[in-house]
Amino acid sequence: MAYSEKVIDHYENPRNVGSFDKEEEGVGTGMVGAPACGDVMKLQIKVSEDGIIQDAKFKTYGCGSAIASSSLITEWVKGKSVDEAQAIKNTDIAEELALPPVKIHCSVLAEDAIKAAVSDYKEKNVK
Amino acid sequence: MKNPFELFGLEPNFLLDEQELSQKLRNMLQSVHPDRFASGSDQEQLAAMQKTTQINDAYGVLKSPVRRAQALLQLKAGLDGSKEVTVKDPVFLMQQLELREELETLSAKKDMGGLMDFAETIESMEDAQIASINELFQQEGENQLLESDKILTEIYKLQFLRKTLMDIEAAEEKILG
Repeated sequence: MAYSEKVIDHYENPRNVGSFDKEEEGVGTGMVGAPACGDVMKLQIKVSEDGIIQDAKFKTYGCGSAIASSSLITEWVKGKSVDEAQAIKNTDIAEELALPPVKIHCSVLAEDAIKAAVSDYKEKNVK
Repeated sequence: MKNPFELFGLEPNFLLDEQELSQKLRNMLQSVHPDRFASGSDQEQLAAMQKTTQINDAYGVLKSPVRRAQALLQLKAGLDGSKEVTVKDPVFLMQQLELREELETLSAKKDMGGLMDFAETIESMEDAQIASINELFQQEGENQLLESDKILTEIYKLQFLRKTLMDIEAAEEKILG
């Protein structure tokens, strides 16, 4: 299958690969997986006191589209509020990366991962 | 169309005798072998060919623990376990992530012995997972309903282990060239 140039770029030069200490203040961790293809995705955000995402990291074991989707979303969420980040739609990711229909689920996984990271952050920071 | 169990004349059970299954496969494939229909009509030849495809497809389902369990869930509970879903169990997923990291390290070191040991570890995890799926299927009937959602979750876990094992095989092949 032919990957789009943007997928290949994110796959070959993934942005923001790595981890934060999940116990650290302001860090939210989202873990998601897709049983059908066996992909596993960890996405973490570091949020400032005023609720803005300062930094994001990911680690994904999966196909090129899954890696590109998580790499892209870590770029997108930086500078956004947690609520804005939670509102990102998988269709935006799929469109940006020109994902073919069989790879749409990779973008769904990235959306689910950011949602999970934000809800982990919110749970830890109930005021 | 008959379900895979029916086609092979088997009770719809998760546990199955692999030797019996491959024996049945051989017999069934022989009965529809093209040589038998060499002098038959085009229609007979086509029917035999279609039957061969059906038999092979059903065998593919039955011999794979994941696909067999999915077929049983479909049969008993009308549940489609092959849909693309997102799993969110953090403890299980963190463990899977660590296993993939271990594989990555072994693969980078080209540690063939380590990879083989690692494959054994995953295989025994797979066996344990298959055993617990079997246990859940066997519970049905003893005054209990089938816990189909729970079984579905356990099949998902088996799918992640399967993927790790496939990745180990790919890493080994890459080292061997």
